[in-house]
Amino acid sequence: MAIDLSQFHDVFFEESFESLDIMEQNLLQLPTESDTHPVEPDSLNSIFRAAHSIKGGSATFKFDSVANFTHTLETLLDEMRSGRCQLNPEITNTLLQSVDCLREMLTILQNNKTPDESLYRPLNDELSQLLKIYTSETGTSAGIEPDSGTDTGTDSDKDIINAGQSNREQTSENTTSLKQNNIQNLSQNAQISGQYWVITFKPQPQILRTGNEPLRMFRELAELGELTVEANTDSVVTLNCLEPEECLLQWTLLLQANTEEYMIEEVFEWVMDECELSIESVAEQVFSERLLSIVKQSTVEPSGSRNPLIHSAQQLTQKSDKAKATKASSQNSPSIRVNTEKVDTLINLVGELIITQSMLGEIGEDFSINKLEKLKDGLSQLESNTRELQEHVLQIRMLPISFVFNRFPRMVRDLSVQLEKKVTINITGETTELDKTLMEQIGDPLVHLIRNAMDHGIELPEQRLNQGKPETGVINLSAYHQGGHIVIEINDDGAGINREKVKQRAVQNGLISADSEIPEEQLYALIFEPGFSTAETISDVSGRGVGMDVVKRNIAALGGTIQVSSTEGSGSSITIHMPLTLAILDGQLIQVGDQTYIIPLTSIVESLQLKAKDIISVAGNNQVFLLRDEHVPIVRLYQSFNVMPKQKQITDATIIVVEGAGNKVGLMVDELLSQQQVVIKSLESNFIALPGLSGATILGDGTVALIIDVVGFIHHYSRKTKNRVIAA
Amino acid sequence: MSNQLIEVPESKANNDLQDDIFDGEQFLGFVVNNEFYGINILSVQEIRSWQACTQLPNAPEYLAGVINIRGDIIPVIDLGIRLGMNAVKPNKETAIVVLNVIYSGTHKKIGAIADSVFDVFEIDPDNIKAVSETIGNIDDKFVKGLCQTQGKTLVLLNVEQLLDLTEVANHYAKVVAL
Repeated sequence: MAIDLSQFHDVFFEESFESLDIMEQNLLQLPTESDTHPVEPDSLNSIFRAAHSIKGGSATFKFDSVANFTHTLETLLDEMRSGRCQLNPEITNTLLQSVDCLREMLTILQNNKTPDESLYRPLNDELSQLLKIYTSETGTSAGIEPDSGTDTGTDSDKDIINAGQSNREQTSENTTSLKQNNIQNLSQNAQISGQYWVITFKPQPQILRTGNEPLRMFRELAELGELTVEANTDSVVTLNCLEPEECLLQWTLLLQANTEEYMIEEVFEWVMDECELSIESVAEQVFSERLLSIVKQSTVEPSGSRNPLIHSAQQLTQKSDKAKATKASSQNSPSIRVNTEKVDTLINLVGELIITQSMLGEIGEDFSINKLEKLKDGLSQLESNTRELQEHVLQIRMLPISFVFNRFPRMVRDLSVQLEKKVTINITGETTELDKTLMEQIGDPLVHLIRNAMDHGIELPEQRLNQGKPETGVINLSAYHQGGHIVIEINDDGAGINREKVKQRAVQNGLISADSEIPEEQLYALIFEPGFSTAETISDVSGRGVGMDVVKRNIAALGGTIQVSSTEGSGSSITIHMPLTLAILDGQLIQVGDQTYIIPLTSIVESLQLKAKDIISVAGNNQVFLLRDEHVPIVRLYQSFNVMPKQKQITDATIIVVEGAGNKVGLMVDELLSQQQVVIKSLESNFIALPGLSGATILGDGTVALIIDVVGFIHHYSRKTKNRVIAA
Repeated sequence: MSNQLIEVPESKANNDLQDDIFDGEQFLGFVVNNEFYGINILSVQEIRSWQACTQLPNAPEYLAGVINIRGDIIPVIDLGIRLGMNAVKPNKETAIVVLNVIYSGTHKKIGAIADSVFDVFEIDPDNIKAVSETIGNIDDKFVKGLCQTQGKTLVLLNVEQLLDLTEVANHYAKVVAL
């Protein structure tokens, strides 16, 4: 029955990080000093529940540092929840710091290391300090409230699972730090020490729901000395009315140990309010009599609860070694949580696919030409099945963008303190779904943009008041779908972009000449140039001019675009367009010689055939043509890619106007083939990435077609053609 | 009888465990331009008949292109050109040997086009002679050693050297920067 607990580690960490996010979000909703709206009991409860499940989980996995720390945290939260401790900014701040600290500890643990005590010790002390200050007034001692019936949501489900796991898992001794924490509380109790203890333990039926497992406690007791356990099964009901989540057993425990009462009490500490407990120190004679009676009973009833317990206790030490050994081998592979609905849809689709397949199989088994219609029907059904299946499989990778957005309220809060500005952030459309890989990569650019908006955009409170704006600045962050794209908008009601300043700086940096008149749009595009910053002072937050060009590059790398608009004095707005997924794209198949290439449809402006009079020769061999008053250079794809074309004359070939990173280029190709959705395959998995190509795909006939990365192609090849021409 | 049957796989297993590549290894023999070559069989994933490759733009001449193997895109080299001879002319016997090669810790699959594949040889390490000087046009970095077996002289190849990804990257850096 060796259960390797480390296999649940990933789940635990994932859930814990989620819980921390929940705590953080709810902490941020707690009233700040200025507004006095009452504390939402819901948010406090959520925070408490989140902390509780981290505590339960970490105790199960024996991450004692986390368990102890969360325990202190939870105690404070409980005081707040019960209204004994008034909420104030100091507490909120400490709680937020605790969340950060826990996140750090969990990250360290996730990497199979042990967090250093110095990491959490100061905060732990601070929490205890707060607890003392704010609770001493009312004179209540710190203890854990029994979890009320409200606390039985998903949280308790997890706890039950944890309890189930813990059944087969060894419990090591309580850590010293937990002892230190609690000695204070417990020392108030009279310290009785003795050698023979009779403990009666009658837990309330719901004890298992709070993640407490009597077996674990008994094992802990067994470490203090020799333990004999007698279970009282009187209240156990018949099987048909048994509620599996309820604990109906009661126990008498005989402990022979040289210990003190508080040591025993400590074992039951977390369940103190959920049970009837009596701890008695007895004389040796009484003890041995009781012991004898139990042993007699258990020989009469061999199925007594004692034997399996002892048996299981013996196995434990061996198991823990094994668990440790396998722990090292378990790897962190990224995982996604998928809505069960999505999985169900997939299963249904696969079901349909199988039906279609068996239908086709039947036709194929004994085929005659009069079944051709049937075969065609079947094939078209197969096509629609696979298409649907493909769409839904991609859906699995789609996650709500709140995964990225959720970090911003906290960031804005911290930054506004740092910058001494008052800023609120409004988030809309956080349920908009986006591919997971894109999600991971859009986070940093967004952080940059929001920091920028706060640092450069939003003015200081006095300045805002002087301008007749409300003291508190507002940043709106929204996401929505548009066509095959996701659009993310960041608006602020700050100062906007100072056109003159941008121009001045651009002239200084030599990007434009002093007397040039450039349109607004292009002027704003300059802020994405490397090294460009109009901030007068360099702060921690921004101003070094490295941010925006990185933002633009990152977004371009994801196939997205970024636009800025701004009204001086009333704010600016940044709009990001991104494809929904990187795994599939709509492509235009083109032919050059005997090679087929794919150009992403999103990069294609139009395709046309040129007449000789449209072509303007520039600098000898360089050709351009006029597309609505814009000079577009012609790039011969066969030349760039060094293949033998069918058409060498521009007038015979087809020109595809593509646009990437603001540059338009007319690609000369032999002919256009079909348009189709293609699955992008990386060239790097067995080879290296090649300039001007974003990957390859497999066409219907099994051959490989290369996908042209328009931005990269223009970057690498249009320059090359120019140079070539100059050289010639 | 039964003892003998057991012994054979055991000795094989022992060979597999040994790090030294010249210790009774098996080699896949193939023909390029009427010459005989061998590649350690442990690097060979599969042998496929010839299929047209998709050209890579501006690739080095020896790189024939990429092919699709069950959804994997793998680069293919023309052993003829790579070993300093003429390009392999595809016919019915032409084979693409799919090799598993480790480049700086990661497994990559590459294809190598040969005129034909003919046999698997078990070669005694004592029979393998180091090459002291360059033979023909072959760059000696490709050659692990020579050996005589079944009346043929086999040139044993260094799999890792056949496709040097850094070399390809440098090639492209030159082409694009031109």
